[in-house]
This record gives sequence, structure tokens and C-alpha cells, in this order.
Amino acid sequence: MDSFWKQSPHPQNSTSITVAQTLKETRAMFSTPASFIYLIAEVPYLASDNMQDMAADRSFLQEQNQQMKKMLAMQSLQVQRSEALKSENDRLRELLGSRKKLPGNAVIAEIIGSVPNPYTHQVVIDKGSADGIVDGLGVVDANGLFGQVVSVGKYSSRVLLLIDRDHAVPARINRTGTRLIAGGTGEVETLLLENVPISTDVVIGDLIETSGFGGRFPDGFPLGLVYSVSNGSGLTYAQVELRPSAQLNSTGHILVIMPDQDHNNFMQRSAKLSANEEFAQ
Amino acid sequence: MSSPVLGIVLAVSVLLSFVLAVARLPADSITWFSYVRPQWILLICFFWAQQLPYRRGLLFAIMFGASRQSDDQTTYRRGIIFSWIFGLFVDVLLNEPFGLNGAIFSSLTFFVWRFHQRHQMHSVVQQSMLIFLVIFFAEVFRAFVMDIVADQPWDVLPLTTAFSSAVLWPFLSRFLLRLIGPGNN
Repeated sequence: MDSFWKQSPHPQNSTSITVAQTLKETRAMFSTPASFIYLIAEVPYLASDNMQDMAADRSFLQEQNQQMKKMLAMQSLQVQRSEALKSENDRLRELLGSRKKLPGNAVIAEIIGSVPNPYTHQVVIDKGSADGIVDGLGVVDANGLFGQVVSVGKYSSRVLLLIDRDHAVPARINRTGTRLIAGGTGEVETLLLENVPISTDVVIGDLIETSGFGGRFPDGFPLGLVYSVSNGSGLTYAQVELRPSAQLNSTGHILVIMPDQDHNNFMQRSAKLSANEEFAQ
Repeated sequence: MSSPVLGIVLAVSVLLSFVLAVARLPADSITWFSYVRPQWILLICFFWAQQLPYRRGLLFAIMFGASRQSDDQTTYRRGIIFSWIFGLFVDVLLNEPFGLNGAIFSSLTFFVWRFHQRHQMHSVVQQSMLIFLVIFFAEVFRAFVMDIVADQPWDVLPLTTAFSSAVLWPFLSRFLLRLIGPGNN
């Protein structure tokens, strides 16, 4: 027993990491047929979506088309501006000697199922390592941050939603720039700001966004709006709750944010570190 | 019913139980649904372990057809091990710690094989009560492990799913027995 405690003070050097890695790979191997099962379970919904598209009448489609064209025009204007701003931003950062860059492109993925456990909030998406997805990438939808990739198979991955009890995001208040942590509560409608000092300037309606700290999520993605603040006397910390911006209940398309090369190296390093942490626990 | 057809019925029923175990209602916000979702995979595992007591376990039967039959100790042990491997896939499917479902399925297979002759003497209601107890204990074990590993809170989930499974059992077993026909024990 004594020798058991003495061996390998540095878990990086021990065989346990290899065991953890093997288990992870086994999971990844099984996850391809598992995602196939999720796909079969999703077939009725996919089929009914298709049927709706087929049964839609001409005038409705024309109207929808018009609306989308308008939206596209508006958004392409914004994209043009943001492209210019992005390049200007990169130039300025270069002048300052900062290595941080805005994230590059993204991969569109479709949600093909959700894990049927009432205590975890995970969804299965139809893109995997074959499309360049790696562990730990941030996922957003049209309205805000959605979650992060936690396990990758060949043709599918699992995304942990940001409202899961095990999830937390480095965040900041958009109005004041105060840094905070936004943790999941396990409820679809609520995120909780953790350990907020009573004196923090936060009011109902404040936009909370990602701060980019920790390097896992790019900064500036909206997390949600504050809907309840209680900072009365007697409390150690203020209770600040926010409603997530992302449509976490919907089953549409989401974007997996692909990192640039620098970020990729960082992610690999941090994945190794987190494997060690897992072992240390 | 001939053995290959029996194998196909077996494989399809197992696949269907997987699909039903992860299927969702149109609105995910209906949370009560997950509380009364029957334990489809456990029910199917129970049924086939009861119907094919001398085969080498569910996974083996799926892979090699339900034709090979023997009742020596090696086969018996192998059946338990195959049930455990079968559980590994369910672990990935339901996103649970590796080995949890393996432990549940192999214990279930052992239990059913140990007492299968007695079980078949039971009436439908007695079988339902047995199903309730078996699934209740299996789910309590699952909740216990998930409490330790993933810090999940205890809930009425073991009770409600065991109840809905027990209610479903007579219909499911009768339907499957009709499908495979008499004389397959």
C-alpha cells in the first residue's frame, strides 16, 4: 500500500494518462453508432420539417423569400463593416504587439438529438473529427453562446450546453466591463453569476458577454440579459440571474467556432492539462 | 420461428429500445416525460435473457444469431461478460460513466438466468411486480453511482421509471411473445 502512494508524483508521466486516453478513444469509437441511434430517433422531426417545406404554398414562400432577402441585405452591410473593423482591429493589435486575434471561421452543424437525462444538458451534433472538430471548441447559435464541445466522434460530437450544472464561462458585464463567472444552474431559463460582490454595479437588463479569459471561448459573444438582482444586506454575494440569449431549446443549426493555429496549439495544451486534472481528481 | 428470423426480431427490438430510450417529444421543455419514460433497454434485456436463458447473452446473440445453444458454465460466464460489453455501448449512448450500465446489465442477466424457471411460473401481475423491483433497484444503483461520479441529486426518478416500466411490461412481453411464437424457450 505504501508503494502505491509513493509511485508517480507527476501524473503526466504515469500510465494512467494512457488509460484515460484509451477510455476516451473507446468512447469516441462507440459514439459513431450511438449518434446513428440519435439520428434514427430524430427522423420523425426531420421528416416533418421536410413535409412542411414541401406543403408550404407559393405565396408563403415568396413572402419568406422577401423577408430573407431584406435580412440578408441588412446583414451583408454589417458584415462589410465588421470585415473592415476586424482588419483594422488586427492592425492595431499588431501595432500594440498583442498576439490576440479575433476567431476565424466556423462550421455549421445540425443538432440531431439531446441526451435523455433530466440532469445533464447535452446535445448531439452531426459534425465530428472528420470535419475538423476537436474537444473544447466553443459553440454559438444565431443569438449567443450555446455551449462547448465535450466529446468528439468521427462523424458526430456532443455539446455541453452552457446551462448545465457542470458548465461555467468567464464573462463580463458589457456596460461596465466587470469580470465575472457565469455558471449553469441546470434549468433551461437561468444562468447564475457566481461570487458577485454586493457592491458590483449590475442592474436588470444588463448584457453579459464572454470575456475571452481562459482561452476557451472567443470574447464578445452574448451570454444573456440579467433579469433578477438581489443584493440586500445579509447576503455574502449578490444573487444575479440571467436569461440565456441562445435558443437552447430549439433544434436548428448551430455554429462551431474554429480556432486559428495559435489557438489550436493552446487548446491542445489545455486539453492535456485538463486530462491531468481529471486524473488528479 | 426459425433461428435467423428470431435473431432479426432480437436485433430489431434491441435497436428500437435504443431509439425509444433517446427519443424526445417535440417540445424539450416537457420535463415530466423523462420521469415516466420506461426503461426500454432494461425491459428488452430482461425479456431476451428470460426467453433465451442458455444463449450466450444479448450481444452474442445479436452478433452470431440466436442459434447456438449450450448450458455449460463457460457459456454462462461468457454471457455475463458479453452483457457487460453490451452495457459499454449504452454508457456512451446515455452519456454515463464507463461500466455503469455494464454492471447493471450483467447483474440483471445473472439474476434472470439464476431464477428464469421460477419466473416463467409467475402470472403477468407477479412478473410486473418483479419488474418493478428489479428496475427500481437497478435505478437506485444508477442514481447512487451518478451521485458519486457526477454529483447528480437524488430524485423520484427510480420510482417513476420503475412504475412505468412495470405497467408497460405485460403489453411488451405479450407483443414480443406473439412475434416470436411458441416453442422458443
